[in-house]
Amino acid sequence: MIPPRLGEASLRDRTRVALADPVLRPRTARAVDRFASHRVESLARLDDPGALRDAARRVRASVLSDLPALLERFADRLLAHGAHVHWAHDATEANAAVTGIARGGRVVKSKSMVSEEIGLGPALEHAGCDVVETDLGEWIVQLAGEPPSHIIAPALHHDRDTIGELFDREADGGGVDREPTALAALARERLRERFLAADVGITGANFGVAEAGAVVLVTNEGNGRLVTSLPPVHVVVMGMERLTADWQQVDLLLGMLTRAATGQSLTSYVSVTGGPRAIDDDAGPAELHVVIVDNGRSAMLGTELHDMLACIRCGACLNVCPVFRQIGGHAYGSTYPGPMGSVLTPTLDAAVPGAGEVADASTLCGACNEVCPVGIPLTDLLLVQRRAAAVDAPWTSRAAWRAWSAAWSSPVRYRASITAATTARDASGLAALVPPGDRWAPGRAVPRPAARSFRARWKAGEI
Amino acid sequence: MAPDGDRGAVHGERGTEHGDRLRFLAPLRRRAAGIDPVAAPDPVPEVDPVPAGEPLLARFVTAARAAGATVTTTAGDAVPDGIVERWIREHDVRRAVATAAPEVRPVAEAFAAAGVAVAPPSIEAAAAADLGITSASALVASTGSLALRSDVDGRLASLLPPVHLCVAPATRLVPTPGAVLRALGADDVPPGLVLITGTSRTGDIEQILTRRVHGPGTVLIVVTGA
Repeated sequence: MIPPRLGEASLRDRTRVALADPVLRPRTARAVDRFASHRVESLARLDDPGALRDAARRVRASVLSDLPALLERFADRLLAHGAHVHWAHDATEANAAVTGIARGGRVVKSKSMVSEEIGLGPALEHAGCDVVETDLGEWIVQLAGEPPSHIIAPALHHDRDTIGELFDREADGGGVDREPTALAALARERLRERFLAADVGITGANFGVAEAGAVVLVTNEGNGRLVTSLPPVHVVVMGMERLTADWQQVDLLLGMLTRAATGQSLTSYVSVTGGPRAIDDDAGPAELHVVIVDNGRSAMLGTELHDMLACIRCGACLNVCPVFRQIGGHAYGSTYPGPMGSVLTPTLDAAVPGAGEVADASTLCGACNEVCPVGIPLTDLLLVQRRAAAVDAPWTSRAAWRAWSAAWSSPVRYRASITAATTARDASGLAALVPPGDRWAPGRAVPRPAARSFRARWKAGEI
Repeated sequence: MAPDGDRGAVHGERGTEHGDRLRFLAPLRRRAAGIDPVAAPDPVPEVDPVPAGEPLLARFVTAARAAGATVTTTAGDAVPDGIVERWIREHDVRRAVATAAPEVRPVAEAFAAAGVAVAPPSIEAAAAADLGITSASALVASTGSLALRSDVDGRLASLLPPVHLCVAPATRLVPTPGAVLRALGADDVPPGLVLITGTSRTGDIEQILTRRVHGPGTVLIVVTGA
């Protein structure tokens, strides 16, 4: 069962639904462990991954510090190549631009998180388009009527049996074999028909290249190549921060992205789109559109959350997060799960009640900081979002934390509280019976304070 | 090519702009004013450079095989005798599409002589073909990748058939993907360029490596003049 979305239920209730699913945790753990170990192996083959990470961090910081000028350069180069450029301040403008281009036609999509973020699929369907996701994982979740559960492995919460059940409905008369090769073959046959009939292909962008007016797309299955080659119209939807200045920056970030995401030195296909079809081409779109999307990103620029815009969407932080491992991607309730999502969601989904809560879905252990290929201090940014959420917290909660903070700021009051705890140690179980302890206690052992405090034993010379 | 780098589309026209650029950029400019400029590293380091003096061909063959491609090297400038017949048998090739590249022509003729119907790569022909034959604009040693430009190597023959055969001379070997990308610069970007590394693959079903989803499940590479 898929947990409710952000705004439909609290983080606690969404988590409860996820934890009640007996197969979600083993599937999630197996998938993230595999991604994480592939990443470690691929970095071990490099001479100095730390220096590369530092260079990647500086590349992203340089781009963000010069973003308006680079965007202008990027757009001017695209226009010179014959591409059409659309500036979209928010999701509504972006969806309006794309539905205006698609005009109710048949749409094939390659995997794109920004299109999930702006709700492009539903918007196109509402406008009368026939929309099909062509990445295998995305097609699986589309058939299931679910959102993706991981930014690079959208269907990791499924196994061959649940995928087989979905595909049985797509197979001609009867079932499909559960072997992955047979499932992939069915997807190929069904989607090949859609590619050949499509009016419009829609992709995201892993990188925009300002100096060249080009877009770089990283895929493994080949659906990205089909989406960008067969339909007469290609629409790129890209977050405005996805930019680089030049090819040497792309070179570095590309190598960091694929290693951090799947441990590959390069994905099967790296597709560069430099403009609409030219006279010598055997295929390619006659029309190329690039929709540049802000949708809340500029609200982070130059703020305490600025560094989050450096994210290259590799998913490495999801794969090492102890919270993601337990609750999976859907419990976050928003487009972006895991540590990066818990920083982005409170800002990108600020209008949705409870969006700030997801910053609590972290132990602040820092594993995400360690693996980020562009050195984003994710736990620092989670604390920024928690501080912002605290401003909006109920006065009772704020008053309680203030009282605790004040008490433990004074040595005398701190000692008094410890004395009280050791004296009443046999009564500590009572905390599990009254609010808020009663919500915390189920499934846990209530810690019992020691008989004598560390300070008392130190004074007595026992330590 | 026009002096400002305009290549132009099919119709040679400049693109159109939609939405309000100034309104879009206004909040960015406001906020960017408070950000200290950060200089990018220059030059930007390469992730996995190939040490000077390391033979590129050996590195390419190892990396391409590791990615799932089948690699044949030959000292001559043609595909070795007998191999075409073997491929036809192994992959049940009846129809093929071939690009017009000079390296491709003798191979395409060998397939035709063996009874395979060979056509230029239209969408219809490529979608029905068992094999697509192309050359490559570059062979990337560190990753075993093929670089194909849409305006030289086409898109369809390497994409739609289940088997992709690529014939290219060893003189096109370059050390890294970066060597291909950096050479594009500001003005030499084709409408489409793809770096192909091994076969089409997915891990979306239980993270099990599954070959051939939408692109070719078999990639045959012949390096000539090796």
